[in-house]
Amino acid sequence: MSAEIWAVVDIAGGRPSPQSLDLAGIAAGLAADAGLTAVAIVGQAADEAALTALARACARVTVLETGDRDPTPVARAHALATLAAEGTPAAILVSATGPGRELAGTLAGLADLPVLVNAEAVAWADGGIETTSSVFGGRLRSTSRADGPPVVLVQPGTRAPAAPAATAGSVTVRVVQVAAPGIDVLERSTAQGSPAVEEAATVVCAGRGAGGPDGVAAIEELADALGGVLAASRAAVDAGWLPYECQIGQTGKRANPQLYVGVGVSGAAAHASGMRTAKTIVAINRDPDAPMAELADLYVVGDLFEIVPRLTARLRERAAVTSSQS
Amino acid sequence: MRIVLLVKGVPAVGEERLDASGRTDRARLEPNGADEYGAEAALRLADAGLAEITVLTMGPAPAVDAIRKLLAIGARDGILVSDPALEGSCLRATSRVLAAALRKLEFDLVIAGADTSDGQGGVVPASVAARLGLPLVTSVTSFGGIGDGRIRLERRGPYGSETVLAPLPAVVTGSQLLGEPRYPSLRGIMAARTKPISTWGLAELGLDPSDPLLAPSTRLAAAAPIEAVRAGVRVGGAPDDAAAAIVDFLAARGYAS
Repeated sequence: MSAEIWAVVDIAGGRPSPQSLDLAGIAAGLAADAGLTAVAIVGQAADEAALTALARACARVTVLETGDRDPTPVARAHALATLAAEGTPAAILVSATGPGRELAGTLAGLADLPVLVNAEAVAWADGGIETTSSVFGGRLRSTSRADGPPVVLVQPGTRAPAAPAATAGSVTVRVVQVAAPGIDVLERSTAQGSPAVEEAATVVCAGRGAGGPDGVAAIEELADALGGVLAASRAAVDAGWLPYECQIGQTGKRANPQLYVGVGVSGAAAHASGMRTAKTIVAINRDPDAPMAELADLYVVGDLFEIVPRLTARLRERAAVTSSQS
Repeated sequence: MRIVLLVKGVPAVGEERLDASGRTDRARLEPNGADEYGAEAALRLADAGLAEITVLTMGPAPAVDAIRKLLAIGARDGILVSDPALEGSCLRATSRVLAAALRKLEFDLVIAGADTSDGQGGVVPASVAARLGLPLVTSVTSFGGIGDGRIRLERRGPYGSETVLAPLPAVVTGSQLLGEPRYPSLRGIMAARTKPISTWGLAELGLDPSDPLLAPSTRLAAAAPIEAVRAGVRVGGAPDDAAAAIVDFLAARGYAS
C-alpha cells in the first residue's frame, strides 16, 4: 500500500478555512515530490462545494463521520488516530492554530507520533519531511526532521506551492466511533473582534500608543481601509481596549500575514514573536528608538493621531478613484 | 483539591541559544512565563484553603530553580523528573515521561501553560491528557466551583468565551487572563529552601531508557541566525507627508488598491 500525505482540514460554516485550502495544496505538493498520495481529511460537516474544492487539490478526500457535526479538536484527533492506525500516513499536516495544537497534541499522544512544530515551509527531502521554522523569537532559522511519520504543525499564512494540475479526487466517507473524554459546554458567546488574526493576509495592530478607545477606533478605520483585520498588542488588551482574541504575541496569537501595520506598538520581543514573519512590516510610532524600528520595512516616526486619519483618507480616496476607473 | 502544576524550566526570553551539541542551552532556567498564569490561579485556590499544589517539572538539574521559584510563592512540594537518558528529548518523549510521572501521583487537576517560550509547541498538555485518557480544557480564563466530581471553567475558544463543566481529574491549560503571577516574598524564598523536592529518574517511573519511544523522534538538521533583513526605511516629517509616504510604499508593494 502506498503511503500518503494527510492534510487535516478545518471547516467553519460548511467551508474549509482559507488556511486549510493551502494545507491541502501543500500536501499535494509534497505528495507530488515524494510520489505519494495526498489525502484531505475532513472531520466536520462540510458542504458539497467544499469537498469538490478539496478534491481538486488532493487525490483523495476522506470524510470522517463521528455522529457530531462539529466535534471538538480532541474528538477529531481520536477519529484521526483510529484512521492513522489503519492507514499509512507519511505525514499529517495540521494548522498551527489553538485548536490545531490541541488536535495535534492529542493525536500525537494517542498514536505515539513525533511532532514538528511551527513549520513556515515544509519540504520532502531525502525520503522524509523537512520543516523550516524560526525559533528563539525569530533570531534563528531551524531545519528539523523526524524519525518516522510526523504530525506537522504548519504556521497559518504558509502558502501552497504554485497550484499543481487540478485532480479529480475521489471522496469517501468513513464512519468512526469516538470515545473521547467529554466535557459539557454550558454556554458559548461569540466575542467581538476578529477571530481571524492568525489567517489574515493584512493585519493592523493597535498598541499602547493608541492611548484609548478613540485611538483604537482610528486604527480600526485604517484596518478597514486596507481590507485587513484589527489586532492588538498585549498592552492594548491589558488596558481593556480590545479583547484577548485580537492579541498578537507570545501569549496571544501568532500572525503570519503578507502585510503587518503596527500603530503605537513598541515591538518588544514578546510581541515580535507573533508578527516578525510578516512579509512586509510597516510601523507608525512616536518613539524613534522603539524595537519595532529594527523590525520594520517602513518605520514612520510621528503622532499616530495626526497620521492615521490622513492615511485612511488617502487610502479610501485612492480606492474610490481606482474603482471609478474600472 | 490536589493540583499538579506542569512547569517547564526555560532560558530567559531573549537569551535562548544553542549549546555546543546543537540543543537549547539549559544551563540557567526559570519558570516558563505561560505556566505562571495557571500557577497564580492555583495559588489563589490554595490561599482560600481549597488546594494543595505540587510542581512537576522535567528537565536537567538547573530546572530545580524553576521549581524553587514556585515553592517560594506558595506551592507545597516539587518533583523534578531528570535522567541523563532524557537529554534533548522531543515532544513525544516528554509527554510520555510526564504522563508516567502523573500516573504515580494522586491529583484532581493538572494545570499547564498554553505553550513554552523556548519551543513554542503548545502540544504537550494535550498529549499528556490523551495518554492519561483525561479531559482537556485549554485557554482557561477562570476557575469556578466544584461539585459532583466536576469543575466549572471559563475558557476562551478561538471565536469567543465558553463556560464548560469538566469531570475531574482533568488537564487544563491557563491563559494570561488568569492574571499576573505574584512575586515571591523574602519569607517565601526562605520557606522554599526547606520545602521538599523529589527527583525521579526513569527507573522511579518504571520506564526503560532503551525504549525506542523515549529516544528523540525529531532533530535539528540545520540552524542559521536570521539577520536583520528589513530594508528599514525611516520616515518622519509633517503628518500629510508621512501619510503620503506610507501610501506610496504600500502601493509600490501592491497593498493599496
